[in-house]
Amino acid sequence: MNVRSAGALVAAACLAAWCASTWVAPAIAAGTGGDADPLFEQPPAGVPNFTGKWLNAKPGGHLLTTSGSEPPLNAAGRAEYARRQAALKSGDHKVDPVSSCLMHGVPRLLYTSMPFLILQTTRDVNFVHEANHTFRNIYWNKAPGDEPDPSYLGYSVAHFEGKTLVIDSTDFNDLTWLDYSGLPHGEKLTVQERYTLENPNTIQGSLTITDPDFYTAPWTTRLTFKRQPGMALKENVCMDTHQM
Amino acid sequence: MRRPAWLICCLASICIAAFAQEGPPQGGGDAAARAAARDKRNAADALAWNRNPAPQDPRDFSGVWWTRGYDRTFRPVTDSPMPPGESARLLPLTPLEAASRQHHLDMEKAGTPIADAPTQCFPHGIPRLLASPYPIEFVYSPGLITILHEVAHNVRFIHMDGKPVPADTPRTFLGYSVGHWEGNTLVVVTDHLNDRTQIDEESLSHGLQLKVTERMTKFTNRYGGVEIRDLITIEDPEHFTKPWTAERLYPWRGDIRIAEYSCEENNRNAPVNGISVAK
Repeated sequence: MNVRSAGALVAAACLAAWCASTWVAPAIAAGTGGDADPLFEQPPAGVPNFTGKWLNAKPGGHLLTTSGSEPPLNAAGRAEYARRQAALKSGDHKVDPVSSCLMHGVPRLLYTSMPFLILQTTRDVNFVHEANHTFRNIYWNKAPGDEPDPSYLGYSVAHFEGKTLVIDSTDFNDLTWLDYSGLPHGEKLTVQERYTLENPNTIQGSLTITDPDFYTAPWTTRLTFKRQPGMALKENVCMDTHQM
Repeated sequence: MRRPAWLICCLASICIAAFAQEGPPQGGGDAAARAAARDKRNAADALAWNRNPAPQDPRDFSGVWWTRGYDRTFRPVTDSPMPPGESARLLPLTPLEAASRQHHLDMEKAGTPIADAPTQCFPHGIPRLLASPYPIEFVYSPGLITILHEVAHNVRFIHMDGKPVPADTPRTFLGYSVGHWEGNTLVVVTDHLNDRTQIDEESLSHGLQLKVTERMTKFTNRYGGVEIRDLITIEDPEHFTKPWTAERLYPWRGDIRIAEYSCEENNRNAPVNGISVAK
């Protein structure tokens, strides 16, 4: 039987209420709509399908631009990055939000060493990650009436440009790191992901990061996902792992 | 934008205490007028929620569904409606579970409820997750049905590829689910569950022998709304003297998307890296 100790720190109900206070929800468009209801658009016919199990070919690490140079941090960006680097070097890993099991944010979530599913449908495209069972639920259009509401994974909208899957994300909070090394960002961050199927087992991607709070100019980095047909997504529970 | 205030209220402990008091519905008032108001509300809901219609194919559950209201309990379904207090008496509890359930009820009454898995931002467990009062989305892909739950970003995978459960499958919070179709009913068997979750939020526990069989069927209600009925059969010989079946209904919600929900944010209950973040 699983009756556990009554020494729980805080009542379950109190936590539920606490969690409730942290939700964000998309605005619900009012009314029953007219002839053309824009709440759910579909991608054009004949686009490639990215559905499958994938893994970043080079997880973790530090993001560099496509030319191999350091991202163009401004003075505030350099200061914040230096602060984080110093904390990590001194062994203070609590400075990393992921050490508290907070969501990785974008693009860092794409760089975990765990596999993820892309589930592309006519309704939406989902990135379902093994890492702390985190998912991004991305539609093909912005819902009418949606208002900015900062969140860990931002507000993403997908579309196709030819055979390239393009995902534009905005409305991030500033509680995540861009990469595992601690590159900073603010709430003005926008990320554009562009993915092409190089072959059935390889996705080539580029990410363009724009954030005037911490960078002097938009910059782009590249990444590769490899298909993982034999890999099963495991149940990964950050809060549980951390208590072991 | 946030979920409606009533939902937040229901999650607060004071409201939970009120819900926990089992008893027959209150009498009095004009029953016919209440029924008419309910019909009107349900018809208006169906119209709004069909704004983007559910898929026509009876086997296609793709899209967003959201159970109505908030019920902290799983109870056996019967052929005729009965007050919650009555259905609770039908629970086929073993002596072990009877004592365990009473302990849960006593602890809650004493103001020190037992913290179950979701309190610590662990996945809710099956069937506990099925009662969550948050939207869910079914996503279909070859050989797999994925159910995205808004609540605490729980994700369920229903394996539809006909393969048996892998031999090295570990016990997990959400277990391993295998599905198949019987007519237009999606039958899902879930086992390999760990024993760290509860059957329901209120009082029911389970052990390692738990097996949950769901029978999900899409239907159109009398207001024109579409719903999934999930008949949930719970088997655990350590805790229940016989299998019993609960029911959940998930109305189609063509008017919403699911939202980001971070349980881990501001979680004061669970220590992280051995360090409690509680104030």
